[in-house]
Amino acid sequence: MEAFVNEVIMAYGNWRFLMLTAVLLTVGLVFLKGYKKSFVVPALILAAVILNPVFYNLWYKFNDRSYWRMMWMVPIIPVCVIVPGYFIEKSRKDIVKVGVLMLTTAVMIFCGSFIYDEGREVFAAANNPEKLPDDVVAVGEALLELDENPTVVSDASISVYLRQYSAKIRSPYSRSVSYGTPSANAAIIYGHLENGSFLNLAEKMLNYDYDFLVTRNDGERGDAIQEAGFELLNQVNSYGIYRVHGHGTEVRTYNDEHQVTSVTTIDAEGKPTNGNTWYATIHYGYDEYGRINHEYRTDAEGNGVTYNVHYNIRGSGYTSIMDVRGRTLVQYFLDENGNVKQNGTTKRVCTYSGNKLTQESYYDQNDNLINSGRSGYATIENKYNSESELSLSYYYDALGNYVECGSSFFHQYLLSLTNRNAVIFLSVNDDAAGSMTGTLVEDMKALGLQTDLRGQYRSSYYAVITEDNVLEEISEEAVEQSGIIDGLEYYISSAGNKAGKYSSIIVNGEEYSKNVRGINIVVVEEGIVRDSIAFDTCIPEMTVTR
Amino acid sequence: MSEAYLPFFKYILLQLFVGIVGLNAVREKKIGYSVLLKSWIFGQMLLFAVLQFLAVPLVFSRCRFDVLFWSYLGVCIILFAFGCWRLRCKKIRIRKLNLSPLALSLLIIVILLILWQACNYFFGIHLDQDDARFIAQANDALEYGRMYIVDVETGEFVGNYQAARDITSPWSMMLAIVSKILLTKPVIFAHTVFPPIELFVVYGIYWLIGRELFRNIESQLSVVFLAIVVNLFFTVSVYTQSTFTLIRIWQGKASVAAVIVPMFVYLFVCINKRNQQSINLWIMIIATGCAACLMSGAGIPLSFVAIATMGFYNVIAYRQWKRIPMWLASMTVPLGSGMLYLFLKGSI
Repeated sequence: MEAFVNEVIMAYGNWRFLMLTAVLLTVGLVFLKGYKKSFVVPALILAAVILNPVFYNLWYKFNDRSYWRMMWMVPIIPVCVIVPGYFIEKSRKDIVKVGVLMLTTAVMIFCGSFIYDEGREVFAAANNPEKLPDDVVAVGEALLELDENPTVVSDASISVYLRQYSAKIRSPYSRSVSYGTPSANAAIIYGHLENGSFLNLAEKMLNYDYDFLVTRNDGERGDAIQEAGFELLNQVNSYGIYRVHGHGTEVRTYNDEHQVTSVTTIDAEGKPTNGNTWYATIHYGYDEYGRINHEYRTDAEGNGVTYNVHYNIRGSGYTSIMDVRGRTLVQYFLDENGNVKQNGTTKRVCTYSGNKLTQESYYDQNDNLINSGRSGYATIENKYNSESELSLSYYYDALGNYVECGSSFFHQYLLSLTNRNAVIFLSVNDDAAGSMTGTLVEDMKALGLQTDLRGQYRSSYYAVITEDNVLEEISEEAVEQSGIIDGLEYYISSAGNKAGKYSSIIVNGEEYSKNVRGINIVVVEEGIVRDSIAFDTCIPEMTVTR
Repeated sequence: MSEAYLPFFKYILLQLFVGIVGLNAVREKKIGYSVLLKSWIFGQMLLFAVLQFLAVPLVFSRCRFDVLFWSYLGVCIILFAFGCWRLRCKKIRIRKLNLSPLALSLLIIVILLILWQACNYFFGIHLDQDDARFIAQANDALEYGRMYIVDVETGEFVGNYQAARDITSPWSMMLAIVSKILLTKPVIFAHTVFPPIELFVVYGIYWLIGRELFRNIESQLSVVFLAIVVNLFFTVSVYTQSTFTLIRIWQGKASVAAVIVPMFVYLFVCINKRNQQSINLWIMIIATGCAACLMSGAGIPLSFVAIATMGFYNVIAYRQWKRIPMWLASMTVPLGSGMLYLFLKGSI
């Protein structure tokens, strides 16, 4: 009920218009002869249907947001115009009509607030017909002059609008960095741009194939950008347009459907080059719906190269079978010659419920389940919460035995730590956020931790949990803490990817941290170290090191 | 701003076409001011409905934008031809209005206020981040001929729709189609050309409501005047329908708030007041339901609840059991769109 009332207040800002409508509907029921059946009663019914907690609860059973949009159907405006209109219709004297109009207008002014009020800055004078910020239009024009299909990394103030200007401009993110959830790659790129880590940014732009950088370049920021190897091509107002230096030229080939079939990096002489990567060409294939279902990489000599096609499964690429909804049903892994592998893990088979991946299994060339990954699993079963978010993943080997890894095992481990009279040390090495789920965050909260690690990509983090106290710290810099608990002398430190990648948990002068990627945990009970373990929460497998 | 003038005048001319299409849904034999207005508004609803019927299967089957564009244009031309043929059977009677001083004053004030709001749209800029999604999609359709098969954030080809609402509510394709007809960019059409004209549609619907309920022209104009006043002040939060009407009507959900909601009120007031089996009104309810689905995912449940509640009331209150088939039929599209949305979203 409280949530319902809160949403109603949120939608209407205050109760005045709602109360006014209620009053006018009552007036209508009493006075509006000839209009009750055709307008007043149906308006009342419609308002009652939408504005009630039963409908509110029903709405959120099928939908996850925006009940307030349904409130548009509550006939506030029709009631506010028709009931006074009735009295104007019935009055014979103009002075009465004008009086009703003025009174109604005065009530509206009292109930609401003026939309074009200067303080609200609803509209500003437009200088371009696109009605986009002038900088965006100028940057868009400049980019399209530089390249027919520019790939651009830009400040959030620009990126939100760039693809409104033209779809020819490609970007790793748009609105998601300021509102929403950007992809992992986008978050990394934007993080470097925001932090002014231009060397890292240049590296990522080269890796992910972005040519241009558009960013404010006033003062020392401009110097730092150029020192990182960016070449200033154009200055548009306060934004500099840069090309990332050292980027090889790309040659693309297309099929009859204008789909890219290969992308090759060439050197100054026009020959394929691996550049600073291990491949020169990516070959693409498409299914009947125009979706990429085949990817294969070759080096400058045209030989297939192997890489981690899917977590720890190595190959030169993959070819997939997708259903009409774009869900990957089977993924075959390719060998160095571009053929389906004939040994090791050759394919991955997926099953779904709706769009949710519920199970994936790995097979060898004889269609037998095969153990894969560092933990040796053949099947993964995913469980989702009521909001359709992945909560836990269960891993099984080829014989169907439960494998101690994945979020389900970490979940069990965290549960085993609750209500124990122990001192628990947690320290992150490199990254712990990559595969964190809401369920695990809740488990950590049950231990008394406040930090939600989701989204804290590559951050440093430590926590010290005792029965009646919790110490924790998260930062982009390395963090450390030392002290004495119940005669136990400790030192704990953590460094995320940007701060040096290490973890240390020293208890009574001895190092116990496994110091591997993910969350390193040490449990001390009655002055004795009971356990030292690490979960690689950076990847879904959450490899366990003990 | 001069780049927007030509598309704007072309769009005004296009409204003649829309008005003639609307004649297919108007029963009146004599064409006066109100019938002209009605046929213009009905025409818009019909054209939105046709687009919904064509776009959903074509987007779902990943057709090229050109297939949608030319098939839609073909159907529109057929509707236009039928409209022209119907025009021959009707008598145009545009008479000089004899207005009282109060009515004339109200008319002038109303026109000035609407023009003022329209000018705010035409000459003003309001930035909203929601546009990052559907104007980018319209751009992609126009520039690359692809419908909802790229990552709208990045422009990367993914070959599959990203959100269920892209299929059930392809409003971006409307922006792309009209932009192509007007030879302008979707961003110019959405931000500059479409809103001022659509405001006249909004207040036109309130005029029709007033005309349906009141005989006196002063009362009818009062309805429009008060609707303008309410919209100007019912903006106490960013979520009210007035805020959406006056600030960002080019967005699908805002069009639902601004156009569809009063349109349903008008249609059901007509059906209740006339209390007669009027097939063309029920057809307009179906068309308005389709238009709501086209505009926004929010339009699907909203139109379903509106039709279900008000239609049920009409059947029960007037004991007109023969209307049950039309009432049920009018719920089909929102219900079907809702089921499709839940299916694609993976909820069922």
